[in-house]
Amino acid sequence: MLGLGGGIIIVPTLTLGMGLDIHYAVAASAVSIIATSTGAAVAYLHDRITNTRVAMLLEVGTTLGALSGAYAATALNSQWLYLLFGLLMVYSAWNMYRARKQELPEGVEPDWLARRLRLNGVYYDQALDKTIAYQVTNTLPGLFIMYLSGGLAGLLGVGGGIFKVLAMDQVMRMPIKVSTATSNFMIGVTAAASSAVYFAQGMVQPLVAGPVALGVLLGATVGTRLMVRLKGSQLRTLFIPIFLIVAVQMLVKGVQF
Amino acid sequence: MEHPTEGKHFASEQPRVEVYLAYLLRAGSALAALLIASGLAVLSISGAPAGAALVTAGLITLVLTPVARVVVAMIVFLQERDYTFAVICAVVLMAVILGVLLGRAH
Repeated sequence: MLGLGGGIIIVPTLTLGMGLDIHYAVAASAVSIIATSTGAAVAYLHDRITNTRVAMLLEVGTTLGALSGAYAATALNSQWLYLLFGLLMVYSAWNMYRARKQELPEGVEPDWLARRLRLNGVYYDQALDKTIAYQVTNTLPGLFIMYLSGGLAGLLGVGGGIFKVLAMDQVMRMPIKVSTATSNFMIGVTAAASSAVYFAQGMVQPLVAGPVALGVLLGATVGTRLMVRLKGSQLRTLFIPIFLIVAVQMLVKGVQF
Repeated sequence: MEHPTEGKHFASEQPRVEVYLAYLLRAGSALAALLIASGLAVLSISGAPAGAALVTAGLITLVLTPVARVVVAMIVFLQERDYTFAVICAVVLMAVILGVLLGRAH
């Protein structure tokens, strides 16, 4: 529902709750992220909330980031990367808190790249019951954050949906609903790549991943219906604690090394 | 739905990709859910190994759906002569394939 994938919930449930080996749990979680992404995307595409052009463009950043991420992370020193993203999340949470009443971003001037690639979009907002036209800005910084987050996702073992929302909402100044739906759309590709690797390694247990995927496919449909009806401001308020929790986790990791 | 004044070229061009992708994702998730559900049903009734195979087939369908989504988007962009975005899709596709071949789970 929040475009995050839910790996944060599934892995602890399977390992702590059911005593499953962490490798099998991570593999099952990767498969279930695809289920979330795919199950939810249909509804978002219908209302045209997903910005497919932005999604495709940013996927270049995440996939290349994931590919070269290990090298980039060692070059940059992962400790600094954790601290950097941790601080970025705190700052974003603060920004979201300040702008919590704001329904849609205002006064966004598209940059040359957004203009050239026609990244602007139009979607139908059920909660506001009107069609919203929006612009996209800071395309290159957004792409760069995606690249770094692709590498970081490998280190953290999460899909990195939260960084996608951060980049689109805070940096590229897209409406929160569009950011959420587009993030949800994108995580499917990243998760498919990792799942294929887990499959090859024999980590995907049909009896574990099967029921989880089926449940998530059904659950995603319900969550999506809910998100479409929420107001942008309510959605943003939901994100603030999540940003803070992840920020704390990352800052702790950054200091611990 | 009313037509917005801004970005009207967008409103006329955008739906095509999205309609195709929505079809693809719906078909992919429905097929995957069906295969997994029937596999689990077979397993719980008879415990036959065919059940596990069905579940695995469903999971593979699920994994292939997002990849197929990039391929379909690339074809649609090519048809619309939007070569910039066709190249973007191709780069994503190659990065995903390369990542799988290198065996790096992320």
